[in-house]
Amino acid sequence: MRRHTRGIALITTLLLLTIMTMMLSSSIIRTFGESILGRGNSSMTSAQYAAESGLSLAMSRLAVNHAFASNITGTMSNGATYLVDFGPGASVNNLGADTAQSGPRGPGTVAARSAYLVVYGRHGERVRRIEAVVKEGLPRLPLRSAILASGNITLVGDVQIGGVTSLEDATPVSADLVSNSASNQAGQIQWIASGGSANIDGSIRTVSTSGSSIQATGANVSQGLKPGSNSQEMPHPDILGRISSHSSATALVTTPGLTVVSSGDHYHSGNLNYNGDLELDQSNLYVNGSVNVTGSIKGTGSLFVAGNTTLHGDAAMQAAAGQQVSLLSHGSVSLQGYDGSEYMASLDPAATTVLQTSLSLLQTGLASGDPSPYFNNGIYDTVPADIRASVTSLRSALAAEPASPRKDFLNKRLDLLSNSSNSGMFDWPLGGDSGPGVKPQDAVLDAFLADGKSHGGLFDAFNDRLCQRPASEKVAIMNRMNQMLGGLNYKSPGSAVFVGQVYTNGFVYAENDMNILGSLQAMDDSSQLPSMPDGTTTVRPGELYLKKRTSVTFVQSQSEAVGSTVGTMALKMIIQE
Amino acid sequence: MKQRGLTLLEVLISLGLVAIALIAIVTVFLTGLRSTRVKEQTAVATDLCRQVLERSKGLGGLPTSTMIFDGSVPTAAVGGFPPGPYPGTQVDGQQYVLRVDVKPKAGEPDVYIVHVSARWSVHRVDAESLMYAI
Repeated sequence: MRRHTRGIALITTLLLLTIMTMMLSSSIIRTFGESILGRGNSSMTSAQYAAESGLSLAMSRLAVNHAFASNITGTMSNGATYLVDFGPGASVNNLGADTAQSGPRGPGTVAARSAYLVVYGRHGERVRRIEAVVKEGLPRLPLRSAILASGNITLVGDVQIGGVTSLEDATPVSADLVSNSASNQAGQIQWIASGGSANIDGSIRTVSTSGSSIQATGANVSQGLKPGSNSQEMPHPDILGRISSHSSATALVTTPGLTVVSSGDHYHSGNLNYNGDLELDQSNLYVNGSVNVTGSIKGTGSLFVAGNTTLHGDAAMQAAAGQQVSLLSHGSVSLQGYDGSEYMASLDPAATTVLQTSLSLLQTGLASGDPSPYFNNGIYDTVPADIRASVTSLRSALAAEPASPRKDFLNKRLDLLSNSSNSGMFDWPLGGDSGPGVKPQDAVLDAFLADGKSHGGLFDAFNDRLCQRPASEKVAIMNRMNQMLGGLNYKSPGSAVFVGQVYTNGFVYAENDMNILGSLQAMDDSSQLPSMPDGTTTVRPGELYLKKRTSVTFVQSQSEAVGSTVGTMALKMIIQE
Repeated sequence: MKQRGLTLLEVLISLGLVAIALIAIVTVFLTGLRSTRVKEQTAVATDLCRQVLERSKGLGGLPTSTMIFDGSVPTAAVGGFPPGPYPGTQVDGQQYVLRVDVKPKAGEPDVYIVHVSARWSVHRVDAESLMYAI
């Protein structure tokens, strides 16, 4: 027996070693395999982003040049490459054609006015192919002035025209009034004093060479009167065509009091007469008729109107991403405030004066750029209390007045400042809390930084927490705060505000404490008729008529971005393979 | 006696071989485990970068000038950019910090280079994409 067991330990060990070697090998192979798989996934992701990068470049080039049809190649920082393939059987640019064309998916598969793009991304051995359909996006308004008209411009009474870099940056920029008319008519651009004053922080220009074409005696025009100027480029957006092409979009459904238009495109057939607030939530509203809104229009989006547009009260629209337009109206545009400041002053002159002075003081402090002298029992502590007291007094006076849209408007405006729910921007619901650490006030400032809108207790948060913020945020918060107060317009705290760009083929008429943050363009295309918006004054298509304490603050950032002269491109469909 | 001596030698050789093999196997397993852990973390970090890039596409716009958003500071987002999970997040007990660089691509109107990096421990993952944003 012992002879038979000789060497058994070595044999057993060798067997064990074989098994262990197999286990070792399998472990190494598995680890190696996982590595390859991981690298493969990473390469595929890189290839995907490379392909999408190529698509972005193609869209940019098509936006600048609708006839673009050349291969695009490039390399990303990680070595991934992309190719936009315009070779045979690949991408097809059909943007300029009104009929469908053959594409890589077969005959007639590239729709009219679209481009079919085939893009490859490659990283290592991995290749990603995507196909995308792009179409022309919204037009850009190449705007260089606060007011641009193809016809006459008339200003009556108190008028303020100025400009800022953006809604977040109050750095002044020139705000010009320009008429492209070469009629040489006397008073083509005129200011009728009517007991008021005019301040224009820019120039008044017209193509007409006659000196009498600009009549603005007594107006303060910082950069002078300039007859004989070059005409400014005026866009020709096909408003009716765009409305028509969206007739199958989601139908607009309104609800009493407040209608929120959800994101995406919406269509309304016929006239839209709405008594309430309309809120655009990243949406475009196409109205195949006229629009008459008594209330506010706010949110983010664009409004396309086939007929005339009349807005009463506040309209705080901001163009959505890529859309340099807020309101495109084929017919004339009438922006009407409620003459609230004069009315308010007649109800309670003392409280109105306190309100005006307080808002003015705050703007001065914010514009100084250094907030520190204004804290610690400075104006940032004391003025909000004055504002709350004056609002309470004004609201009491207003309560005795008969019901009217103007009363509703002013109540809303006062609520924004201070209200019985303690949720106005100058209410003090958050208490004093200036110590270290995250406080409820920080959430309010965060929200304000994110959306730039008024929030309950905003000034309380500003007062308590600004000093805890990084320097860059301090500046941003102060600028935004200043801009918001500018929108309230301390000289006319009862004024209505319109934020956005207006383009019309008719005329623009604004009156009664209308404060416009944006720009106005009127382009006569011979499709509209003259009208008398106030019942006495005839205003013709292509003209601008602003009266009774109208102010226009040109917001430079809303105008055309550098680059595209054609428009923008919009992605309609993408196929990932 | 002769037979006993040979068996002892066998046992010693066997023990030595088994010990060497065991050390090798344990080392490989431990290395494999660490590698797997890093791979899992890399996948998480890649996904965080992807989330920032994908959510950036859905925003209203990108910063129009060169900006660096460092999640370790963290630099405050501007107008919703960069979107979450910036400035960072914790997944399976591991903290990841994100950094987002955005700059206009020279000569290409409305095209921006968006570079996202996710860092954890001593590791880092990067993702980059050009975006047409208007």
